[in-house]
Parts: sequence; C-alpha cells; structure tokens
Amino acid sequence: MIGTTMNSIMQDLRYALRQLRKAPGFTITAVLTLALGIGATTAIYRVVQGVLLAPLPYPQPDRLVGVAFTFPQEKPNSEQAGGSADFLKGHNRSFESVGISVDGTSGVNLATGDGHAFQIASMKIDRGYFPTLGVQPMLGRNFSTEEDLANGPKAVLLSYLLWKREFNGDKNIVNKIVRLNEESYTVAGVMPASLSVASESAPGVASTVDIWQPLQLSVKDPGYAGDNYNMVARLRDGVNPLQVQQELTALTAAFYKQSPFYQQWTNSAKATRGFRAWPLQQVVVSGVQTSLLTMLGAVFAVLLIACLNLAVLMTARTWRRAREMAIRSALGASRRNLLRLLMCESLALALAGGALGLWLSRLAVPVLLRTAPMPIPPMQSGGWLAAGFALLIACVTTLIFGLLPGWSVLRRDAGYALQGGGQIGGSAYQAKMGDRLMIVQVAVAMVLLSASSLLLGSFLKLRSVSSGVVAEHLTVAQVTLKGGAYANALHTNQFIGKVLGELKRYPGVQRVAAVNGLPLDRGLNFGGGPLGHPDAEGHMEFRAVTPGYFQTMGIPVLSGRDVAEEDNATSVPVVVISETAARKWWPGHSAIGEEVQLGKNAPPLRVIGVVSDTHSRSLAESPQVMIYAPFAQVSDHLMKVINGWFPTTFAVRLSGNVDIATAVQRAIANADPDIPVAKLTTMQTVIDNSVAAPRFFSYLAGGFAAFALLLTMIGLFGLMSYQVTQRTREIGVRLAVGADRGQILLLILRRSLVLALTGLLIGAIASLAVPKLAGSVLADYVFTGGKGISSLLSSGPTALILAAAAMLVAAFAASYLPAHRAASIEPTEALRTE
Amino acid sequence: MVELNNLERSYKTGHMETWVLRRINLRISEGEFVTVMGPSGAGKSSLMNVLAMLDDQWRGEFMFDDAAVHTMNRKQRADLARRRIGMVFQSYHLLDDLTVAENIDLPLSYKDIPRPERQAMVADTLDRFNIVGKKDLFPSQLSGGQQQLVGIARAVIHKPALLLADEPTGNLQSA
Repeated sequence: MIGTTMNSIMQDLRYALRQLRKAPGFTITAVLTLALGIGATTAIYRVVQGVLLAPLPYPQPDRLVGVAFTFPQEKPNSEQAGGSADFLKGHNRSFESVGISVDGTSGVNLATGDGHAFQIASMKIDRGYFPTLGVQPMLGRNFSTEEDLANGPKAVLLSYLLWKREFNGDKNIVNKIVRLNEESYTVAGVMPASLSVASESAPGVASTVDIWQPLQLSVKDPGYAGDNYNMVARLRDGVNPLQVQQELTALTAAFYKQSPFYQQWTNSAKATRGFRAWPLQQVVVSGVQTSLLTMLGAVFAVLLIACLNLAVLMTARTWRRAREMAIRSALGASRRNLLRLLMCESLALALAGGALGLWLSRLAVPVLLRTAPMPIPPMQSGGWLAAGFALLIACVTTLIFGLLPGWSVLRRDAGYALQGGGQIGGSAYQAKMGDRLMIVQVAVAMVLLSASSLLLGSFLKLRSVSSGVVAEHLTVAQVTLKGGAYANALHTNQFIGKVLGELKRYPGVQRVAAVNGLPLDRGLNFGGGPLGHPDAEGHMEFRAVTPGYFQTMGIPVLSGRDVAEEDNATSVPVVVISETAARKWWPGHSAIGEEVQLGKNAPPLRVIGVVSDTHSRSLAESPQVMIYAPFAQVSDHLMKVINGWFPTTFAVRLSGNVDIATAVQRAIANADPDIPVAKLTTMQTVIDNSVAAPRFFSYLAGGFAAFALLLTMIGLFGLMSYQVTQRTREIGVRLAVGADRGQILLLILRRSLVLALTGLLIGAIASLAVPKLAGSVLADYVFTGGKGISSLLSSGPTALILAAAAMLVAAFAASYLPAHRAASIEPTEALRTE
Repeated sequence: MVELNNLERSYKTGHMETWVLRRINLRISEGEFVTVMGPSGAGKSSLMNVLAMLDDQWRGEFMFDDAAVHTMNRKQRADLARRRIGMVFQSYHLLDDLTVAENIDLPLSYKDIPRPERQAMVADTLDRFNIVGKKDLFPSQLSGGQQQLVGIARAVIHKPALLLADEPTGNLQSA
C-alpha cells in the first residue's frame, strides 16, 4: 500500500518536473520570484533574529538593565551624566553591581615595536562594567580599584582580535607595556573572543572596540557634567523591574535635591530628566529596532507581492491545464490524486525557490551588515533557524498561493471542461480571481513605491543642502592628539605648525589650515554668549582654527577679517563668529568689535570677523551659533579638553587632482612619528558620509520598490497575456461585428489600467502612513538639532504622484504587448473553432 | 450587389499550398437569397469569411456594389463591412459577460451613433424579435435557439445590405 503510494508520488513528481521543464519561462519566473522574495525576507529575518530576538551573550541576561537619566517618552537608553551615574552608584539598593562606560568609542594611537603607529578604537569603562555583565578576562584580570581612580596607574584590557592581530596571541602579554598616545600602559588582561562590542564612534558610524581603558570617573573630567556616559546594572536576586523603577523614581527626587543644577536640563516640553531602567536587551537594540522592523515589514511586503505574483502565474497555468485535469478526472483520477499532482509541482518550485533564496540571503547578510549605516549589535549565530524559516516560507507561500487558485479547477465539472466550456471571454470566477490578486499586488507595490519615492526625495533634498564649504579639491586628514604630550597648547601648536609648514611647500597645495571640529563632524560645545547680556547666553559650538582656515575651506568672510598670524598668545584674544551668532546676538548692527564670553569667569573675546554659516553636525540641522578662536590663543586647559575629546583636522586645498596622501602622512610623521593619520579623505566624502543613512534607506527602499514594480509588471503581463488567450474568440467576435484594431488595443489596455488604478487608489490610501514611518526610521540616524524630522522629508503628495506615475507607466508597458497581440488577432483564426 | 471574379484562397502548410477556393465566380443581386452547400472542408466558411471581409489573404476581384474591395486596404474593408454587412455564426458567439441587450448593441457601439439613438434601435430590435423580456439576461441563461435569435438580432440591427449566416442552425437540436 505504502509502496504503491510512494510510486504514485514519484510518478507525479517526475511528471511535475517534466511539466516544469516544458515551460521554462514559467519555471524560471516562478523560481526567481520565490528566490528573491524568500532571499530578501530571510536576509532581514536573519539580522532581526540575530539582533532583536536572540538573548544577550551574558550570564542571566534577563537580570541586566540599562539605567538612564533621561527625559520622559525617550526610547530605551542608558545615558547618564557623570554626576547622576556617581549618585546612583552610591545610593541604589536594587542593583547587585553597576558598570559605567563612556558613551561611544574614541580613537587612540597604538605604537608598535617597529616605530609605526596606528589608530584603534578605545572604550572607557569602570571596573564594575565587566563583572556586571558577567564577563571575565580570558587572560589576566579586570582593572584594579587603583587603576580606576583619577590619575591612577595606566592599564588596558585588549580585545581578543587585537591581541591575535597585533600581539600574535602572546600568552605572556599580561603585565607587558603597550604605548598608547605616546604613554605607557600595562596590559591588565585579554577579553574573550565571545565578547565583541559594537558602538558608535561618530554619528551613524559603527566600530568595534579594540581596547578598554579605565574610566577613572572624576568630577574634574570635562565631560562629567554632560550626558556622556552609559550605565548597566545587574539586578539583585528577588528584585523585580517594578521595584527598581519605584526606587529610581525616589532617587530622582533625592538627586535633584543634591544637584539642583540638573533641573535646568529641560526638553522642548519643559520636562526634566528622571532615572529610568529598561532591560539591557531593549537598550542595546533600541537604536536599530525601528529600522530593522520597518525593513522586515518592507521585505514582507515584497514577499507578499512575490506570492501574489506566483498566485497569478499559477492561476493562469492551472486554468490552462483545466482540460488536462478534466481528462484525468474522466479517466478515474480522484480530487486527491489531482491535488497531489499539483502539490508535487508546487513543492518542486518551493524547494528550488527556497534553496536559492537561502543561498541569496547568505550572500546578502554580510553586505547588509557592511553597508548599513547603523551600529548593528553583534549577531548571534542562527543559521539553522534561518534555513528553517526560509523553508517554512517557501512551503507555506507556495502551497497557499500556488494551490488555492488551482483548487477551483478541481471543483469544476469534468464534462463541462471537456466540452471546452462553450464560452467566450473567460469565466467570471477566473477573471475575478486574477483581477483581485493583481489589484492587491499593485496596492502593495504602490506602498513600497511611495516609500521609496519619499526616502529618495528626502535624501536628494538633504544632499542639495549646502554644507557651507567648497568641497571640490579639498582633502582632509585627521589626527588624534591625546595623551600627556598634547595636554598643553604649546606642544599642540608646534605640531600643527610643523605639519602645516611642510604641507604648504608641497607642489599642488594652494592653502592649508587646521581645525578642531570639521564641519559635519563633532566638535566642542559650550555655554556662553555676548559679554554683558546674560539673558542671551546659551549653547554655542566652539572651533579652534589656524590662520587661513576660512579661505582654505571656502567659507566666505562676510565682514571683518580672518584669523591672522598676529592673533597669538600675547595679543588680544579674538574670535570670528558665524552669521547666525551675529544675527542672534547683535541684530541690526555690526558685530565687529563686540565681545563674547565662554562661561561666567572666562576672559572676553573680541569679535574680529563674521563668516557664513556651516553645518556643524548634520545637513539636516539648522546652522548653529558658532565661534572660531585661533589655536594660538587656546589655553592649556581648553587644549587638553578639546584634544581629549575631538580629533584635529588638517584641511588641504589643492590646485587640481593631486595625490596628497603620501605627503600628508610624511608631514605628520615628520612632525611626530607616534601620531598616525586616523583618517585621510576628501571633504566630499565627509559630506557624503553625513547622508549615508538616508542614502542607505532610500537605496534599500528603491531596491525593494524596483523589485516590486518588476514583479507587478511580470504579473500584469502574465495576467493580460492569459486573459487575451482566454478572450481570443471574444476578440474575434468583436472584430467580426465591427470593432477596429485600435478599439481592441484600447479594450485590453483599459482593463489593465483599470486594475492598476484600483490597486493604485488602495495603495495610495495605505501610503498615507508612509511619511510617519519613514520619518521615524530617519529620526534615528539624522541629527536635526531639534528641528523635527518632518522638515527633512520631501513632499508626501509629490512622492505619491511620482509613485503613481511610475506604476501607471509600468502597467502600460506590461500590458501593451498582450494588448498588441489582441489587436493582431485574425478574426478568421479566432472563429475557426466553429 | 456582390460580384466575385476568379477569387482564390489558399493556406500554406509547410512547403505545401492547400487551395480551399479556386477560380470562384459568383454574382449575388440585391434581395437575392443564396445558399452555399457542400461537404465538410469544401470551403464554405472560407468563402463566408471572404464575403464578410474578415479575411484579406485572397486573390481575385471582389466588387461590393460599385466598390472594388480588392483594391481596398484592410482598414477600408473593415469600415465597409462594419457599415454594410451583418453576420450570424454557427456557435452564436455571444459575449458571456454582456446581457442580451448589450450583445445586440455591440455592433452599434463600434459606430459613431449617439447613445440615445442606439438605445432606441436596440429597443426596436428586441421588440421585433420578441425578446424584450430577455433583454437583461446573460447568454448562459438562454436556450440554444434563444441565443441564436439574439445572434441574428445582433447581425441585423444596423440594417446591413448583406446578411451572411454560416450554418446558423448547426448548433440547434432538431425537434
């Protein structure tokens, strides 16, 4: 019995494969449709599963929380100010242990034995950080109490990869000395390979940590007052999240009593911050959750379109085989036999499409992780789960969308089918089935198209914003000047002077200057304002520059003068201000000769010039109040602060396409061989990188939309071709009773366009939610400086109109050939069946 | 009214040329009722297609009243046929998705006739064929004889000069 059934299945399978071989167009289209749909869905699912769903790779991860000093309504985060972190550490009772780290990585210079230095990513953590996570060094020890105190012994923990790569996996590395920022550090230990931490070193740029340094948190730290830290904590046994939050709420009031200064920190709704705790898993993924889930939604939409397309193809194919089914039925095949035959064909398609899709997803995941502008946390392995997921989608989609349309054929009367139906112009059922599938397909594609159109429009809008500098022939080189040697102004200025002096002499170099905080890069910010007007004081960006900076960058000097060589440590302290600062502080009259103050007790700085605005962090941000001071007049204290936090950049204006890389590296090496070039690129690349996230999402959505449009075109072409075949006799009759060929062409085109327009209308209504969704995705990656993400988005109606136009053109193109074929039908041929 | 001189029609099958009509000479006067008879494959339907101007792959002379059909291009022939010829088919060839009234209106819909005038002509025809009560039914709801009646009504609604019927009773069961 079982043997007979198996034989029948094998026979059906052989027959199905033969049928598929005989219809290569259908087979290739169906397999590719499935493969691309399943491939894209599985790729995003792999990332979502690895990032959002997998537990953190730490012991008892459900006991770990991120603790933030944050505003209400914020996403899960663990941001802390130095003061708030210190307070919580000392006063909490809910946490078994607490770990504090600096917010993000920073570049440090690692010198190797051969006199060569290069930049690596460092993260500062306190000694409670790893014990809280439950991670122990694989070699050596954690930081000691002394090492974590301000001015304590200098020590580092190496990452497994750095230890393998740069120290050849030396098992005796512990207690050896490494040179970081020209200072000696003792290697305390090596962290295990399982620990890989991705963090942000700059807005939107992910980096992996190479070393950990002790935080040495102190009130004297320049960033102590700001929210520059993160906190993780492990809950005590028996403490639940509700109890934690109750304690944190009580501690918020106590903290404000102790440090009333923080009550000045309010958001646009005038709300103050409070202590909040979230599960660490939520904190880790909160930055990418919206975009990953949106991407997953988008690929599911693509998969749905692929499935609908498959359904349209299968419907047409099954109806074409109605006569064959009727003959089989008349010869004794039961419905079960017929269904098994159809299932064999669907299964063959599902397995081929699923396997190809899985292979495509394996290729796509690394590309996705490499090109994604967001810091995707390390993924846990989940290969088998993804394979199972791919197979499940393949089978479910193929069986549901492939077999349901065919089921109606099985329900038909065999005699009726054998007589050829005796009808003209397909049955109402099959026409409606195909039409409905097509309308849904067009509607879903329309949503993807409008999302793509909106994101692309927003990207182009952002890219068209002037950065405020002339990027052509402008090369920038960044160095990190950290460590004791560069904690004073003299040494820093000597280094900068040497580099500039050598670069100036290089052929092809027109101008050269240095700045701490390039446009579209981070820089120092202060509280301050015009002297004698405390009411006008507020947040301002501060940049140290060398003479000729504005000319080098192509920033126009609107009034007054540029910083000059004469503006040195012995002359009157001066600043150049941005036009936004001038307009805000001295509206209606010249700012030249006025004075500004950085903080209450700081000396006044005379304004000598006003320059055009530049964007300090993002093109989406409104120009900020910005002041530029000469490097030569920066105090030792301030120089230590800015060197400790931000890289110094050399800007080189070239006369043409000159290769300056070697000259820059040589000039910097000659000035200090222990300072590596951390970044050497063009200003245009810096600008392009600042719009990497909108570009990534617009290209991704564009890819999805193009695929959806292609599938819709294939579906519409298939449906119209099928309907023309079904309506051949009807068209013959129409021609016989007087229709001309133009009218037949219009008949088919009109039908296709009506379907497209109906789907388009439904899709357009669904697309009304797209701007909000696109805005929430971009808001995670584009710094708008409080402007609101809606100002960045391109016009919603325009996006809809463009999407609708694209869909109509695609519908016309897809149905023109079948319509032309219909118009070419010879009535004598069509009516020959008489 | 219709005059065929040395009309010939053949089909190519591979390298072979199969003749279905050879040296046909035929005259049909106005008001005349002509029956063409012959065995299966004799070329009756092919001749009908030529006369209906559905086929333009023939050689010879074809005069329709004073118009030389053989000198006309495809569009001119289609235009002439639309105005002057009506056709009844063996398998009725009603469109299943259209009602009886809409099927009868079909030839008029391809002419520049205002809608109210078309509706009046359809109403007249329905009345003349005594099928007013069936005007909103679909072909599948009619018997074979009723379907053929609709087919004939559709063929004559625009008052053609030449009415062609290709085995009009072939699909009807004999009583």
